[in-house]
Amino acid sequence: MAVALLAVAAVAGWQLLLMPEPPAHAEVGPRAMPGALVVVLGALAIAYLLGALRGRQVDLLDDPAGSPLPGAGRRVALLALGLAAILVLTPAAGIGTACMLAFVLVARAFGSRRILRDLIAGLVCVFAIWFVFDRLLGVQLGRFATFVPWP
Amino acid sequence: MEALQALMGGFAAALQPTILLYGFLGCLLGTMVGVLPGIGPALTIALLLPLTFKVPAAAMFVMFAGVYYGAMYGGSTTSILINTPGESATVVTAIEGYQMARRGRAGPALATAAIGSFVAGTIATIALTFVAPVVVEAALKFGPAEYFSLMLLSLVAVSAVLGNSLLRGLVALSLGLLLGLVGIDLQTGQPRFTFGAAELLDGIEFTAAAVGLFAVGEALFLAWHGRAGQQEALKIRGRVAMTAEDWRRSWKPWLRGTALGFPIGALPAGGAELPTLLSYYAEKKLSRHPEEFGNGAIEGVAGPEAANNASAAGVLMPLLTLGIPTSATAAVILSAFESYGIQPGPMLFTLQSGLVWTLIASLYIGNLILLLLNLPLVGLWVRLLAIPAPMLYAGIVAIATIGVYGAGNSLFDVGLLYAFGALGYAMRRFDFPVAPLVVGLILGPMMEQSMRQALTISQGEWSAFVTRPLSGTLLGIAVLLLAAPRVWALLRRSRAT
Repeated sequence: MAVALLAVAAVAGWQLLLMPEPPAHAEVGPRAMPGALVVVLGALAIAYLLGALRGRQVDLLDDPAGSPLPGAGRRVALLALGLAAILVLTPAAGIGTACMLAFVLVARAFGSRRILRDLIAGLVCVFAIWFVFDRLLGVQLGRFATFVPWP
Repeated sequence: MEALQALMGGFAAALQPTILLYGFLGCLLGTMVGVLPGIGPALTIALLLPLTFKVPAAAMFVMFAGVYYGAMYGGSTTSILINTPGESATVVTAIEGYQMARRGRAGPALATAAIGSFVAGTIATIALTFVAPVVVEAALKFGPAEYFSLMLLSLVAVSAVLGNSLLRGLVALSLGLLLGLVGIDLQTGQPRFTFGAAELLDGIEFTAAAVGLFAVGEALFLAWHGRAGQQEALKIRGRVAMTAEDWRRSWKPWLRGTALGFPIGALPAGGAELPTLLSYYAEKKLSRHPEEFGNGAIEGVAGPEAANNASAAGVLMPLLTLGIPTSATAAVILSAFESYGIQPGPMLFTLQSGLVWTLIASLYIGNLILLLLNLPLVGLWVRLLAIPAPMLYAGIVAIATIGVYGAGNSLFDVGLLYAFGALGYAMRRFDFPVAPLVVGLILGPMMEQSMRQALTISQGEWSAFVTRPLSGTLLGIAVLLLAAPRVWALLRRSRAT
C-alpha cells in the first residue's frame, strides 16, 4: 500500500511538471493546490511507509480475527474476471448479456456452485434492473442483448 | 414565524401525491438497504444519481431523504437480530439489542428502536426547522476566506475523527482532494491530471467513484474475506411492542440520544457513529440497572437509536445551510444538488426556498411513514436477510454497473467504477477510512475555488486567511484538531515517566 501511495504521488508530481507555467496575472495558478497536495501526499506516504516497515500499519491479512479464509486469491480473481467480462463483452453483446455472465462469476466468487440456478437468477435480476432503468426511467442503456432482436 | 409559514408551504408541496410517492419509495428503499449488510444510504443515493436527469429536484431530494432516514431505521433490525449492523451508525445498537433478542426480547428491542427513531427524528427535524434559518443568517456574512477555512476544518475533522489513525485518514483525504482536481481548471482552462483522456476533462464521474468505493469495493473485500453470509437471524418471539416498564425506561434515553445526536451530527465529522457511542456510555453511566448493560439493557438500544436518527437531521443542517457535507452520504447528496445546477449554501434558502422547505416537510412525513413501515413489516424485512450472499453481491455488482453505465453510456466510467472498487477494497483491507476520500473528492474543487477567490480579493495576501477573525478561528480549530491528540499523548507519556 505504501509503495502504491508513493507511486500515486510520483505520477501526480510528473503530471504537475507537464502543466505549463501559469499566466503572470493570476494570484494563484492552477498548479498551486495540486502542487501542495502532491507534496503532502508524498510526505504522508513516506510516513506511512516508515510506519509499515516498523510493523505499525494494519493489514487484515496478518490479523488473526480478520484474515481471509483460504482461497482468497481465487475468489477475487473470479470476481475480477466477472468485471473484466462486462468491459469486454458489453460493446459486442450488450450490457444485459455481459452483466448476466458477470452475475454468474460473482456468485461463484461468493461460493455458489449452482451455475444453472445463477444463470437463471442472473437473467431475471439483470433483466429487471435493465427494464427499470431503460424502459421505466428512460436511461438509455442500449439493447439488453445485441444478438436478439427483442427487446 | 417565518420559518413556520415556509414549513406549511413545504407540507403543501410534500403532500402532493407524486412527491409523497417518491418519499414512500425512498423510505422503502432506505429500510431495505439499511437491513441488507454491505449496502448503505451513500451507495443507494449514488446509484440513484443518474435519475437526476429525469426526475424533478423536489421529488428526488424527498426520495433521498427517505433513503437516508430509512437506512437508519433499517440498520437497527440487523443489529438486533443477527448482531451484524447494517450501517456503521447502528454498531452500538448491536451490543445490547442482540443480547435482548437472544433473551427472547427482540420485539421490545425493535419497538424501542423504531419508536425512539421516530421521536428523535421528529424532534431533530423541528430543531432543523428553526435553527437552519439562524445559521443561514450567519453564513450570509461569510466571504471566500471563511468558506475556505470552514471547508478545511470540515475536511480535517472528517479525517482526524473518523477511522482509527490520523495518518491513514489524512492519506485518504489527500487522495480524495487530488482526485477531485482531475479535469479542466475552471479559471484557466488548463487540463490537470487527465493523462490525455478526453473522458477525464470534466473531472472524475462522482457516481462512478462513490459507487465503486462503496459497492464494488465492498464486494471485492467480502469475496477476499470469504465470510459473507454466515449469520442467521434470531426469531422474534411475541409481539413487536413495548411493556409499560419498557416505555418508562426508554423515553429519557430517547430524549438524551436526540440531544446528543442532533448537535454532533451537525458538526463537521460528527456523523452518526460518535453520538451513538456517547449516548451508549451516557445511558450506561446514568442507568439504575448498570448490571444489565452487556446483557440486554433496553436503554442501550433506545439511546443510540435515537441518537443516530437525530444525527441524520443534524448532518442535513451544514449541508443545506453552508453547502458543506460532513459525511459520505451528505457528500453524495451534495453531488445531486450539483447535477441539478443548485448550489447548496445560505443562498439556497432564498433562491430555492420551495425545494428546501418541501425537503424539510418531507422529513416529518418520512418519519411517520417509517414508523408505520417498520413495526408491522419487520417480518418482511427479516426475510430479506435470507437472500443468499452470492445472489446479493452478484445483484449489487450488476446494479452498480448498470447504474453507472446508464449515467453517461460510457464504458470508460464503468472501468473507473472498477478502479475505484479496487481502491475501496485496498482501503478496507489496510484500514483506511473511505469518508475523507469521498468528502475530499467533492469538496476539493470548491475549496480551491474559495481559496483562489479569497486570494484575488486580498491581492495575493495569504495572511488574509489568518487575520480575518472568523477564518483565523476556524483554522485555529483545525490545527488544534490535528495537534491536540499528539500533544495530549506526549503530555501523558511525560507525566507517566
